[in-house]
Amino acid sequence: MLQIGMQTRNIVYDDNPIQGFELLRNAGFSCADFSLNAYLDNKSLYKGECNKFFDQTEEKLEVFFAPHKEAAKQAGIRIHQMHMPYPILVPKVNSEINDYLWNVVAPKSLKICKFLDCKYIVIHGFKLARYLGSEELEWERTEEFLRFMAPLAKELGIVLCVENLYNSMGSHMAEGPCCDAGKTAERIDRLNEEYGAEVFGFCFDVGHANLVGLDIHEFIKTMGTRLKVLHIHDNDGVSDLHQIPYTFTKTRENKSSTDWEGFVKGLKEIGFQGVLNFEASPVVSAFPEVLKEDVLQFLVKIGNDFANRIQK
Amino acid sequence: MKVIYSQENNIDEIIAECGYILLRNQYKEVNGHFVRGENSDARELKKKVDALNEGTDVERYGVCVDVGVLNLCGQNAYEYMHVLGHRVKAVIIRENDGQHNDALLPFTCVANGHSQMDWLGVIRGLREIHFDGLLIMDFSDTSKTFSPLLRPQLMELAKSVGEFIKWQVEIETFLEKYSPVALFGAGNMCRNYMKCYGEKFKPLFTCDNDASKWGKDFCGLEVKSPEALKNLPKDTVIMICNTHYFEIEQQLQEMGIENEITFFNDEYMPTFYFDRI
Repeated sequence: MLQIGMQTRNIVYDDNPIQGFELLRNAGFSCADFSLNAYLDNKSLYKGECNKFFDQTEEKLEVFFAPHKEAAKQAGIRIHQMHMPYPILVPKVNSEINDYLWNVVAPKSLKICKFLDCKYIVIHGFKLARYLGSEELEWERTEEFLRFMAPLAKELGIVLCVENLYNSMGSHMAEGPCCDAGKTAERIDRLNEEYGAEVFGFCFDVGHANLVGLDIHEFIKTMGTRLKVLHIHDNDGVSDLHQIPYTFTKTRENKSSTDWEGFVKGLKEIGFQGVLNFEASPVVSAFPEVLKEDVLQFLVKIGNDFANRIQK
Repeated sequence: MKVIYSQENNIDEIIAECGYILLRNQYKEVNGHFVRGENSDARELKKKVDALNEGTDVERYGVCVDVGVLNLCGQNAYEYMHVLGHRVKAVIIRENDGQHNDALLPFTCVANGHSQMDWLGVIRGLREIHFDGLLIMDFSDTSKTFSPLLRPQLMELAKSVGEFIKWQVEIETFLEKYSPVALFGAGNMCRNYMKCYGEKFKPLFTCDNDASKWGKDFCGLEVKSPEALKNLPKDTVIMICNTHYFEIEQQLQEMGIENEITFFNDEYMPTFYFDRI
């Protein structure tokens, strides 16, 4: 049976991590997506503000995250994947911040990943096409960063997963980095071949795919076994809402406007063996505290239904 | 490039008269949500068009790109045009909010102070492929909402918008024809010109009203006094690289300069700096 996972944001808190991991376990999850990005807020980074969390030495960071590690272990939750803080390159802010993100935050994120016995870390490609002129040139910069990270990732046995992203225009979303499955698959293969190991993989974000009108089934099929990590969540096709699958409808027939059938079919066809991981923490904060466990259980039920149909 | 204005739903008729058999990008619907459909994959479409043209004595098949559909499907317009290149024979220019299949006048569907269309990608792409086909301005839905009493003014605005897009697309073609030009302005816009076109279309020099810049180098160009423009050969075009276009144009005319004066614009450049000067 495929395992079901959930991101830790809004669930696992630093002052009492065991409570959050037990909540996940009690709801029926067996895996977690550790929200390391929560420690360096992306909105602040875009404003050119950067907190000092990652200034701590590796030893101090290990001490900081030791309770989380222990709590996950106690609760029987495996940290399957984590999200590196993003962005790693912020246009229009001083180079000091970008140097810090690249040279300090990113390598320390990998060390934390290893410390938490986590195999996959999700990385956002750089959003630079507006400035550089094309997706190819944008990817060149991302690849430069990936190459910088690759030796350490290989040494630590961590897979760097790039994710399909979007760009905003007004209130409308259009495709961003890694939305071309064919190109991305070729790039992952080329890099893995070069490093002689599976250092790179892909994180498919269903919600992002829905926002930019990707054919979900075709995308997954093209990505094939390079697909290592999932971000499962739903939206109305307009905003990146990170909601429960099947939430949104657009017609009088009231059928889901996200192609969940294509999602299941694609994973079945590629023989997906990873974790069905939900990136739906806004759901947890939106529901009243008393319903938190119920809503998490509901996500698990959806995950189990996906799993049954994928493995049928 | 020919610009055609459509206030009615007659796009198919317009396309039928263009002399090519054109394949259009389409969307499909998943319970009311638009996703990529037939001809959305540019690489596949390129192969399809080339296969159709193979063995024919003249190029019969091409592509009509509906930028409204690209927007509905969240596609990167630049990449789409870039892949298809010369196969693009017609482009339907219309705006929508990415959710509803409307045909609105460009730059009118605004949210949070921004258009909801990737006009940067559209213009960059068309400019790069040196698009020279039919530019079909479809603003039929905007037109429907206007009172017939206001439609003449709407048509005037639509023509200005169409000419603006044509001008933006043809900037490189213009430079190819008139290079070397002389620039006016030694600021951000000049810097952007030099970054994107300085190597391919190096200007003779630039000039500026700020006397402190005279004699100095700016992005590889000598900055001169505007008086230097009086010594230009008569067929050299002066390109104003400053948003005070009309004031500078008037200044040059009052100086008795008779050379053709044109405007440069850096709103839709092939690349941008991460910062301003």
